[in-house]
Amino acid sequence: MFRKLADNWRSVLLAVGLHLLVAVLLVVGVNFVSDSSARGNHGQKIVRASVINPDSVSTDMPEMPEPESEPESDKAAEQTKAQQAAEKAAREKAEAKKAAEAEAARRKAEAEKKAEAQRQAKAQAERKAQAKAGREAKKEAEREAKEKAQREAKKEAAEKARREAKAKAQAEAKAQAAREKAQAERQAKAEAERKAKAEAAAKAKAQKEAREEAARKKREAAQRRAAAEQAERESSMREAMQREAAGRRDAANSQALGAYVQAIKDKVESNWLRPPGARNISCKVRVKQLPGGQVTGFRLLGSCGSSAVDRSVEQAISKSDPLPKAPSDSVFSPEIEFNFEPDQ
Amino acid sequence: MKKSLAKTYVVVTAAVGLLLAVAVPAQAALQVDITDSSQSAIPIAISPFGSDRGQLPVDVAQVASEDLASTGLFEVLARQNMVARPTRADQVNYENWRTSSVDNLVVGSVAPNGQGGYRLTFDLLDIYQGQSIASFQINAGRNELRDAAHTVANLIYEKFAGEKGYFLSRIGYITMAKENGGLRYRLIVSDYDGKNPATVYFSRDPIMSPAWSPDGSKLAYVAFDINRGRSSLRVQDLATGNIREISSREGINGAPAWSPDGRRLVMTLSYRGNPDIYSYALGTNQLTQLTNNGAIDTEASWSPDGRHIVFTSDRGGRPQVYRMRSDGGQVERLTFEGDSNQRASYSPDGQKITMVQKSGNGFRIAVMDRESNNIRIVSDGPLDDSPDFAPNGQAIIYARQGRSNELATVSTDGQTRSRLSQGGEVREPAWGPLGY
Repeated sequence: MFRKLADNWRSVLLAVGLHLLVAVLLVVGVNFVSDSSARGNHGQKIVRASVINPDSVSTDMPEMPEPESEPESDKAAEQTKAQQAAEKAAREKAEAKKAAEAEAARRKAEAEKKAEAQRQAKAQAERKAQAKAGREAKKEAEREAKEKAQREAKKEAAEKARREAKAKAQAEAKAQAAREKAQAERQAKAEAERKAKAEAAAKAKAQKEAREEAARKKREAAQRRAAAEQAERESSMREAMQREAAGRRDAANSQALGAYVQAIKDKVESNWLRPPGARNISCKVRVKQLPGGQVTGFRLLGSCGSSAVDRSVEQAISKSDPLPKAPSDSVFSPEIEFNFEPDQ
Repeated sequence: MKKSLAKTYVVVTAAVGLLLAVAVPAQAALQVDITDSSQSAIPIAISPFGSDRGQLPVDVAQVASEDLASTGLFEVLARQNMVARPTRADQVNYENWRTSSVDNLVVGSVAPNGQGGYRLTFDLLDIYQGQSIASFQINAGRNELRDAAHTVANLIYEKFAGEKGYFLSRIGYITMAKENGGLRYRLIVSDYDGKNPATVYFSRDPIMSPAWSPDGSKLAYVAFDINRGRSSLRVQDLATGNIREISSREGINGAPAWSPDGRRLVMTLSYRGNPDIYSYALGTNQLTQLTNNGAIDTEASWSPDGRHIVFTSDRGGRPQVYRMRSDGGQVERLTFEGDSNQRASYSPDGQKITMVQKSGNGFRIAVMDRESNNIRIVSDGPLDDSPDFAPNGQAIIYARQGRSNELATVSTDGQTRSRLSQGGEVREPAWGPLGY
């Protein structure tokens, strides 16, 4: 909207400027005629005049009180008036010029007629004086006409300059006002835009900073985590290596132990004859053994559910004596705890 | 000793290091989880009982051995395979018995008790522990040596099975045989193994549906009188022979069953036109109708807690087993498998129901688990009938028909079966209470 308006103002300004230019040109054109008429010359004479660029002029002009903006019709009327005045002046000048020329011709003819009569009536001697007087009179007339024309031209030029200055000042003031207004609007708009931009930028900047801060924190947390993980990895790797070292030593033992436990389990299970229908069996039995697997004693840590189940468990243990021999001293345990927890 | 042991534990733990899952080093003892057991029977040998008086009227060891063997739970060493025949614990060479793959040995003797009867003394020995784990002494009257032998079996059985043995219980059943040119029906009561049969009631007309009173002193059954065209539902006292007639109404008077407290009988009567189940109070003679249905409702049986009654009904089209409250309310159908299911009765613990299931393989004995409603078929068919739980719930007795008609028992898990041969056609066994 702002932009549209600004464009319209520019168009208005251009229209006004064009009209002014036409008016100025018209005035200047009248001056051609008057100038050339003053010399009694019908040929054209070029007057020094320049097309005024309102924009460039504005800076040179003194600041004027801001005129009230005139409606377009007033401006047109004024321009018409100015044009009519200019035309009238031009006609008057032309008539004056014609009259001056006729007078000059009449006087010349009279003087020539008078001199002819004198010449004819008087003597040849007098011819010289008469010629001289004629020449002087002619000279005087010419001088007067010239002076008059010069005065009029001067006056006209001053008037023109005054009008021009006035029009120029008006146009200038108008243009200046428009420019200032446009400028002010541009400035206001620019300011608003700048402000909005600044705010948006500030906001964006704040958001960006917040994001960056969050990202930074995240990065740092991730880095800390990574560092912690790394440390843990390294630590666990060290532990793993230590374990592996120990594990290599124990691997054989573990494997042997697994097989050993399985062998014990197999033997006891194959020797356990569970009472039919016995449910919810759960008990522990502590068994002491010698390295050869010979059972030296055992005891139930609480009942397995019923005396019949207790009996079956005891028999399973005693029937499994001797237990499988430990494959090495390192896996041997002098005490075994059996957990009787059969699937129901 | 304890301290040095603890020290050793630490050493062992360190040496073993990371143990397997099965061997968590809690308190340093090696941990072994036992999660399975052998399916084998328990190896046992009962050495012939010694006697100062030479040959005894009853081979105690033999009777007890057969008792244990009939359950399927024991693998009893035949006498001819015994490495020795000790009668006292101090005579036993355990090492020798171990080589015979015998885990358990019973040694004992019979001596006069000074009152004309016998005193039985015996030990249960653990061959692997090499010691006696139980010693027993039983007194028996002059004619009670066989019962004493069953008692020996009961004591051993309970030691291993955790349940009382049923070797002193009795069974009732119906026989039908040609005698003197005509069919004769007998209501027989015998030992659980078919020995010592005694006729309780004799008739030219059919006898049906014997049912033991909870205390084992009476039998309820149905006797027909063809000439009168009537049936009679009655209760007979086994000690006195007295008969009390409960119902001889028009139509069906059948399928009696005792309440757990012995105060009521449920039965099937049709005097109102349709066979329905009634409850009869023995103390007041009051009769209460429990079902009132256009279909046939029959074969009622009480739950051990007395709260429910299972029965057969064809209200769904085919005979199926239903359950109702003992006052007749809240009827629900229990069986959905097979072509039909009937003749249901509870196990003593109330956890199982046995019944006859008809399917493409004929009529077979089924056991339903009440918790899971799973049904397991435990007999081969094709014409098995009248299942009844042993008083300890570990076996079921039933009648087999076909080329030869006989009674059979099967362990509740269906693993072991044995036959009780009788002459003639045998029907409708009913297993009495434990008897001790």
